[in-house]
Amino acid sequence: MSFVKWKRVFRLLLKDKLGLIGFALMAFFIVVAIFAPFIITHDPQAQHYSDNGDLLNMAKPSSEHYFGTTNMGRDIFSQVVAGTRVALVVGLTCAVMVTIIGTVIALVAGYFGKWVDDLLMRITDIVYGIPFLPFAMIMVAVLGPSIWNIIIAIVLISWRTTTRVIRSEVLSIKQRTFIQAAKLNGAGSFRIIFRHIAPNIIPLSLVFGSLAMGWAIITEASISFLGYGDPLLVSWGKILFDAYIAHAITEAWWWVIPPGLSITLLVMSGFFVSRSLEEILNPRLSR
Amino acid sequence: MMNSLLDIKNLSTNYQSLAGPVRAVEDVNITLNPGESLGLVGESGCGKTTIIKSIMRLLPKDATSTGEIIFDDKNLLEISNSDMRKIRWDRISIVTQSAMNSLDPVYKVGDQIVEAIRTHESVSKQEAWKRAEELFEIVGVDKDRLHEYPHQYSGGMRQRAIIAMALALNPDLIVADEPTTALDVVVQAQILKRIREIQKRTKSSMIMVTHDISVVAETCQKVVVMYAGKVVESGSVKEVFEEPHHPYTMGLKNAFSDIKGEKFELISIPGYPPDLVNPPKGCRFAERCPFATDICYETTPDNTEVNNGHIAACHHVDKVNEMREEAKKRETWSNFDKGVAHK
Amino acid sequence: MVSFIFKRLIQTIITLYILITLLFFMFRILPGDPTTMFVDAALPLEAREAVLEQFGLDKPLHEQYWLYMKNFVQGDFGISFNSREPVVDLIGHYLMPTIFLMGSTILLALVIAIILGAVTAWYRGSKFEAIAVSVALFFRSAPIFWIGMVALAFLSHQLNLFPIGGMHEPGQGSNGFFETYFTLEFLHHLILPSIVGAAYYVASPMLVMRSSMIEIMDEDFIELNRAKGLSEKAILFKHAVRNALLPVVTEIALIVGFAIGGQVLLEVVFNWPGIGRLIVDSISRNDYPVAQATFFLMGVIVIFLNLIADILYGYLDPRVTYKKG
Repeated sequence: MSFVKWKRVFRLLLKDKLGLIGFALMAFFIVVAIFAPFIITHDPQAQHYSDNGDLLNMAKPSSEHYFGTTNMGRDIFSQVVAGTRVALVVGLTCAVMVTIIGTVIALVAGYFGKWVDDLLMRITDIVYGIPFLPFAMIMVAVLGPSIWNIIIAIVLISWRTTTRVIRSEVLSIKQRTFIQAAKLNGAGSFRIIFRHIAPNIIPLSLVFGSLAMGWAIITEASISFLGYGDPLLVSWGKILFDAYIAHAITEAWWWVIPPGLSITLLVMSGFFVSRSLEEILNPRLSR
Repeated sequence: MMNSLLDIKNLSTNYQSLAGPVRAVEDVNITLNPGESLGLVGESGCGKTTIIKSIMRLLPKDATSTGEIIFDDKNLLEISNSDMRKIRWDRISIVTQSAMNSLDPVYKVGDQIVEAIRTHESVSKQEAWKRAEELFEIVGVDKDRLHEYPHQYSGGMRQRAIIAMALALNPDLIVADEPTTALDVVVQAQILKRIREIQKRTKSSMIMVTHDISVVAETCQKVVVMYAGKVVESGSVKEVFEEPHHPYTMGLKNAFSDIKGEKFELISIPGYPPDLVNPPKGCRFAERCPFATDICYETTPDNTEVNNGHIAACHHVDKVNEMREEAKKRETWSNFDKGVAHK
Repeated sequence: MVSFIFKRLIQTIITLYILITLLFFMFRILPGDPTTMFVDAALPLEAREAVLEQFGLDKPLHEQYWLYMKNFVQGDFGISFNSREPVVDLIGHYLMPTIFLMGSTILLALVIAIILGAVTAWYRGSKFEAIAVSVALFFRSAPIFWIGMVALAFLSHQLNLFPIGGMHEPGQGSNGFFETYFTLEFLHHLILPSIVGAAYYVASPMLVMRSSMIEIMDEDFIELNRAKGLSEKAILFKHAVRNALLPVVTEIALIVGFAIGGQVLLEVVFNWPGIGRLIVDSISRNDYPVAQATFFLMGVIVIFLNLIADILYGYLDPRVTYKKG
């Protein structure tokens, strides 16, 4: 992008407060995730004892344990910080994969049309008929509870939304004159799709990518909450699962609020960023 | 003095825009007597529609109007919202510019006419529906089609439906905002004929807003010519079109084929209307006027009454005969570049 | 219209068929010994053999598939490993609570979404709009089970306003249909999970409603209605909302898609005896026949609600001709 374009982006961003908040929040979580090992105050899995040797069972927040401890005496602050990494890895990996898969299917369906389009869209319809969370649960139950299996399960379903939206955009771009011109000039299908159509699709793909990130994080949390989380990792969903099992809602709000609020804020930042991207990259969509 | 139906005095309307207030209409005076029909002419963007929306109080929230719009001894700019609602359609109805989109797509056309009637009169549904049937007869559409939805109508039929709706409550004033622009020529002629007949019959007053002076010539007694938010010339149709005193009116005449069918080469006025955020000093038409002199760029011309009731706002009304001769020639309009030079 | 519905029905049947097939492969092609997946290791030997035979797991894949389809068409979903009841009976038992909770949740969400969407568009640029949109987005971003936990903690445990979960107090509401679902006591249990679910679902239809309203408000017919002297209330509700509803109807299908997932979590948190909790329990108990049938049922719900949304759309918009499915 040229300098002028960047200036316009910057100006738009300054005007768009929610977008700014979104970018700031996301940057904050990314920084926390990168520097997690330096931020945590304790080993998230270590059990802590009080001075007289008792297990710190759901201790209140203190200067030693900022968010208090779990029923197993683990430091909740460190768990939440460590969970940021898991959430971002799941969110970003899924977002990238979903965007690539969804966009490629949409490009192929939209560009070739006819039976290819028909077939791919019927498949999309069928995927729309699959209940997302139960499917992910069964996949993880069958394949084994690891973070990669969770990611695969999420990606296998999530591409449907991206595909549907991008395809209709491809259909409209296909009609434009420069595509017709490229065809007349003898450009091959592959070249037209990737050199001419794809660049016009990228803004919309990014918008849906940041939405997919939010989706993936919530889904991972939900799967973990249902007890199918990766046993080797501390994720926000798993912290909530432990809290739920321990009936912490009645006794230890500090165990429930931080991980839940973290999920909410990160997912929300995804919404704000996507909305903002939409306005910056696709001025025609904004009013 | 005769009591006029509508008396617009010094009306100015501003819109807000990112670049600053847009002075869409400035210092406009229009008088309309009962039963009279008046044409409001000018290029698109000259403020015609803004005047209509000011009368109906349909301007967006950020717009402000000053001056007076006296209708039936009440200033429409000052009465309460509920009083205004009572005047809308019952006293003043409107035939909109884009009949294509002026009907609600999810209701039957008949129901929409019935709704207009029942908003203002407490009559039964059956009675209102019967009146809608009569109205359709007047505008020449089969009454069975009242049961259809707008998307099942052709463009001309929708326009007729809107006209029927506009007549529903026998208003004192009907405003027709470019009622025929969206239609093809044949349908245009039919609709105009219908409007003329109806006006004769109902004796309502009418304001016909259009950019097409031949439409005005066919349907109106009085005309107001507008340019860039201001009235440049007004008077009876006969006088203004036969003896135009403002160069813009002369130019407009050239841009349309003559009323009586005399063959003219169509000559258009070169250039574009000025930016209304920063309107030029002096006469707003000066930049496009082949007869403009220094004074035109300096001072705003006064309204001169060139004949009884015929008013023109031009510094050079005394040289009118000369200008009229020159204005008929194509070179006059194409050979000058001074507007650009002056910038 | 009839031919349109017919065509969509055929499409729906094809979709269902593929869903069933998918289900078959989901459990069989995956790595690992299928018998351990299908058969509870705790079962006595003869019972294990009976199960293997019932599903034809000793036979080649294509024969298994044939048997599987035959059972499906006959509505025979097998016997629960856990309760030893026929799966059909078991699901029948759990379905009603889900229908009540899901129905009330989606209905509540839609009503709130339509009202808030309309009002925020009407008062565009106001403080109210900013707050309403932010709050809706907050609840849309929060995990539903977390909102449920927090709501239970504050409204049930702290303030004692609602029961702490379940569908009835112990010892009540197991007599007949009416005694079970049409009592104040049931309603009292229904309110909190419905509100939590609705808070989660409300944002997307609300935002769709809002932008659709903003578009409609610029339409010429809205201005003509104003010129007709209609009151603002009449214009808002009779014309603007009525037209803006159309895209929201399409949105219903999408809500239902994720409402199924939300339903599972809602039922777990609120201890609601529906098919959402059933599927979680059956998967954790390796009760494969129940899990498979419940999953299928959820797919059917999503697919059929999609179909209904399609038909409803045509009914609301006179411009849709149904010529093209």
